[in-house]
Amino acid sequence: MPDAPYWPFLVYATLVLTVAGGILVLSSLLGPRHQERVTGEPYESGVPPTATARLRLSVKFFLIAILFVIFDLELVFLFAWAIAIHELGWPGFWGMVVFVFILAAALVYEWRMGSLDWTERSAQARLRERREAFAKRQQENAAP
Amino acid sequence: MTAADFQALLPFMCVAAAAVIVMLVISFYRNQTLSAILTLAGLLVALASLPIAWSHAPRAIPPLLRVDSFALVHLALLLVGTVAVTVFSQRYLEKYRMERGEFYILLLLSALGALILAAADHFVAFFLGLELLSVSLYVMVGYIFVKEKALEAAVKYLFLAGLTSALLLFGLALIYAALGSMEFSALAAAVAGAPDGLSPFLVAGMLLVFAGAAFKLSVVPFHLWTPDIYQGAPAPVTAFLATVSKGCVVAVLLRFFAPLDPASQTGLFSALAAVAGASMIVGNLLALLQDNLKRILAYSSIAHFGYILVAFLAGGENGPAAATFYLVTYFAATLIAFGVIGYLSPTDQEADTVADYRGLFWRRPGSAALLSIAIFSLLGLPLTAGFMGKFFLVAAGAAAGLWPLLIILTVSATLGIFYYLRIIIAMYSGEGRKSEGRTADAPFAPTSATVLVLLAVLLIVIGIAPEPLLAFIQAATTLAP
Amino acid sequence: MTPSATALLLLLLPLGGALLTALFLRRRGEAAAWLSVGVAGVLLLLGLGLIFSGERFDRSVEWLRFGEFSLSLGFLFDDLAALMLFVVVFVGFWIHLFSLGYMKGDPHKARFFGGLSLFMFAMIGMTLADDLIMLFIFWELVGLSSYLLINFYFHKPAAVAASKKAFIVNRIGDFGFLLGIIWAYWAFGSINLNEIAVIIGEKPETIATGIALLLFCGAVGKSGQIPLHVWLPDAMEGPTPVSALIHAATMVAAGIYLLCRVSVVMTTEAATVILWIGVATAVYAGFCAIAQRDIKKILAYSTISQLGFMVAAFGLGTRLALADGGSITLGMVTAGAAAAMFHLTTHAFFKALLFLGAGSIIHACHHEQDIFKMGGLARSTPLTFITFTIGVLALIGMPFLAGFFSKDAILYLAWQVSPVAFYLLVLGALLTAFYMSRLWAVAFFGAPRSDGAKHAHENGPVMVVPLIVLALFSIVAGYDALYPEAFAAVMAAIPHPSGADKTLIVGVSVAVLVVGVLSALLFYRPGAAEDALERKARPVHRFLAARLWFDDVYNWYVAKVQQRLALVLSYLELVFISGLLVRGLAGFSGLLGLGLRSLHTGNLNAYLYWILIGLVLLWGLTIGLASGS
Repeated sequence: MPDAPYWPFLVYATLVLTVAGGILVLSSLLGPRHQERVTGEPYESGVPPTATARLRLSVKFFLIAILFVIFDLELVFLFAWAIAIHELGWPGFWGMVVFVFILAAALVYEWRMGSLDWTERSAQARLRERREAFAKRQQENAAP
Repeated sequence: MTAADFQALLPFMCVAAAAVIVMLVISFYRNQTLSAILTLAGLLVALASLPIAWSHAPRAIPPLLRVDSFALVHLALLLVGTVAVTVFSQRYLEKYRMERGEFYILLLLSALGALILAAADHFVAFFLGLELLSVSLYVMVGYIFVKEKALEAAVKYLFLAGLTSALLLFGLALIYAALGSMEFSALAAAVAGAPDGLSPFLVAGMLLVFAGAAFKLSVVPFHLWTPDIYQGAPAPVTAFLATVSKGCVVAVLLRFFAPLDPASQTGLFSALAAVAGASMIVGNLLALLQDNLKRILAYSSIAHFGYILVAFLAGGENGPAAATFYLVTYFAATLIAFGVIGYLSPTDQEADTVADYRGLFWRRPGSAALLSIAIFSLLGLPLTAGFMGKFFLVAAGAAAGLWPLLIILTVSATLGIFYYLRIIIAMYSGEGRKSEGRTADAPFAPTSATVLVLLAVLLIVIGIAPEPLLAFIQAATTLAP
Repeated sequence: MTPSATALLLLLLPLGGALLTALFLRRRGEAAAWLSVGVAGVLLLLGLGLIFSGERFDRSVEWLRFGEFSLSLGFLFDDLAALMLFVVVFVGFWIHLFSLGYMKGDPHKARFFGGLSLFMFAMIGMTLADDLIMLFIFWELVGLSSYLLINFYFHKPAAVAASKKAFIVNRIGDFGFLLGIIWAYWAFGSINLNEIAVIIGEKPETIATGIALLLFCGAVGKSGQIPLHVWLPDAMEGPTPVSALIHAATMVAAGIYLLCRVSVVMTTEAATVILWIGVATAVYAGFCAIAQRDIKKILAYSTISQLGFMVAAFGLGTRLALADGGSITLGMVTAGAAAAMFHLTTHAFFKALLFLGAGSIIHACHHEQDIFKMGGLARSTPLTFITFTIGVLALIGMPFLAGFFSKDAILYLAWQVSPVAFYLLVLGALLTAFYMSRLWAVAFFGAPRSDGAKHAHENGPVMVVPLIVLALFSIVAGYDALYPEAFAAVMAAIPHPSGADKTLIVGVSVAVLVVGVLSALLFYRPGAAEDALERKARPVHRFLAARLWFDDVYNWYVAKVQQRLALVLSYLELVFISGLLVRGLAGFSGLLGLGLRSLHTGNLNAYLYWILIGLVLLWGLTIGLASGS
């Protein structure tokens, strides 16, 4: 479409800049400005904060979140398939079987790697096992 | 999808299945060697399935892929490259006591991305393939995470590849805006329908797509990452980066630009010619200053892809064949070079300075001979494959009348003598001083030795009798415009 | 056996010998040596058979086809090739034989003889090649084997440096050669020598001076003409038989042979350039030779000078052939080509003889190469003395020896074409007589002046027989009537002065000879222990020893210009990236409050910016040129 007019793009670009810039400018113009003793402190419903807001969270949460995102997103495809199940027929079904199988394989991998272990004990036990195995191998390698 | 479709897709499915199998096996039995064997088996089965796919070629798998003889030739090349990398990796990882077979999952996925690129007939396949290739490579570059250099390289590669992926995606959006379709054939139709110039959107889109691809090819001005990452990454991964991850991009670019006529697209083609010329000059000149073998090879690879761009610009009947032929010679020589470097590297650091190779011939004549053959071929000495590759590039360029680029090619390739010869001289000097250089003493594993020797023999054989291979490539790579 | 099968065998035998040596005989020097000498012997027999069978042929097989471009491998065996082949196999065989003695006891003999076989393969291939690409491939292989052999004593840093220099300098010439081939293909649409001749015959307007000059570039590199002569004296670091075979008799003459092969593409302008480069080289190298002390370096400069004579002869003869609307056609041997090839042949005999004699002396003197430390060799090594003397006399143009006739042919050509060139070449001949007499008088007479020379004694028959054979040929090779029918085409074209010209030229050359020899003998005194020139006229000596500072200029160029250029480029990247872009852009982005900078990621940021800037540049190029067209 070489003949398509370009002006809509210009309008759009102008609009974007205006809105984004406008909000910044307006809020700086209209917003209140004052500097008091507690201005910089976090607002916790009028109650003075008791401790820092930076909590230490277990890295496990991060891992679980990542795993969740992966599986959750992959499962979205199942919904799309479910809607069109009749149209897609058996080929679609087998395609989905392969897909789910790969997902399951990934799940198996995670489980065996210990990513799903929550408690310290089991995770540590695995770690110990692995360390021992590694040390043993190194001894074997060093022996000859 | 019919049975024929599935048969045409067999190579892809074999590689994908191998990745899943390796992952499952690792879950229950962790053994680096076993993973490597399974990977190798998967790749070899994929290679074996190529003739089956060939019998169904050309076959479009709408809308994403097109399995034709052009794609299959490149698939074969990429698979062979991956096989060599697998073999090199096995010993390399063992040396680092890396009992981590996950490397092979990444390698297989990366290779799968490369295969998809080589057969892509649609921008979505293009993007999917490129991302699959890149994402696995990020991890592979930093795989030996105990080495800081590797980590640094991985971070750099991640950022830069991320940026260029974004550019590529933007380019795709522009092309979609201009065409309303994402098939390569739509592009061809648009070009045929507008002989006196394409819409600026389309041109900008194609330029951005080219930029995304050019990053992978590491041509000027997208070349800056190359030396750092070549140096930092483990040698087998560098081999993969230098060969497979570049070869597939050449394939997709050839297909992507095939419908364009240089005469009517002067702007775009002059930009590409500038890239080609600058790459040849910058790559060869900067390589002169390096003392590090990996960096020399990095800069020289910039120049080599400048050469390939010449064939690419020549287009026509011979351009794709010349580019593909050059890729074959470049693959073999580069794989040997990095294979040998990986082998000679002791665990504490890579043996990659030129000084490490002083007197190599007297310590390890076999390695030195292999490396010499590879370097002579990269240099383009007659009777090696590299000479033939350059010869066909020049012939294709001459047929298209690209004289300025050919002159740059000849002049800058002459500079190559200076830095390549330094390596050769280092290897053959200093007889008797056995303690020089930090290279490992371990003998070659029979598998690697076989692969390296086969590649070297290939270089010589192609150098003497290129006709059969050339005829085959010419017949297979004729792209319908 | 068909002639082309013989030719193929000529090519495959030495290759097979080299491969066998490389694969199986690396540690068995004795076997490798005998294999190589045996191969050289068979080559001599086969070659002579082929030459005297009277068969002349042009046969080619398509090697590969690429689009419209096809490359064929083939043999073009005409009288020119026959003469060259004769020189290569004949001189080659005697030098192989000599090497048996010279290399006795060297632990790396196998590598040496393997290299010699490889060289024979390449040289024969080059002689027989029928198209420019094949010629170029063998040309490169000849260069490679020369590189390997100069590098033979690679534990000597000088040898390594010399081999590197030879390789690089030759590649500069070859680069011009390659451009010439590309241009020739572009202009004629063919690279086959005969086809080119046919095309030029049909369409004379396709001819271009540039092609001839670029092809000549290759000859400049290989045949050590100014300004690419610098590698040849250094190449004397190789073993002496190598110097004799490669750097005196055959390979360095390849440039002359190349010129004769492509004489159809010559133009008057190109011939003029060739002529003056040859003359300049002949005189320049003669001056250089005067200030050398190393026997091999004197001979090397003498070789360069004689090659200058040949190049000049070619240029002169070509000018003559093209004068008054003349043209050179397919299969024609011009007077220039004939004179050049004639001198090439006689030179191959006496220069190989001189080098082998030098090798024999060096061997006898326990590797002493300084002529002022020799002395008394006339008595201790009589046979070498006699043969060497014959070589010297042949080289300086003693009447009735080989060099006399071939040099007179060249002088006669010069007399016809350009008096200036004639006088300069006469000066070259005078210098030749001078420095060769100096060498001869200093090295062979007086008392031995070093331990090596004191204990010198004659070498065994393996080394002496080749000297005698070559000496014999140095005497008779000048009589063209003695050449068999096989070389008739070349011999018939040699220009011979007659009448008054004859008196003049013979008179001048004899006068020059007498003056040169006598002045050298008077000035240096036989058996002098030190260089009279250095003592009496130090500035002159220093000037000559500096050899017009060619080497210094090249060193300066590589170290200062080329290296600098690369450095500047890398600085540009560095400055652009870390200086301007990081500081500048990071400051800029800091102003914008983007907070993108940090010292550790600076490098990476710069890469990103660089990519974006490059993209913008490309975009500009696309748009700018697209709208311009």
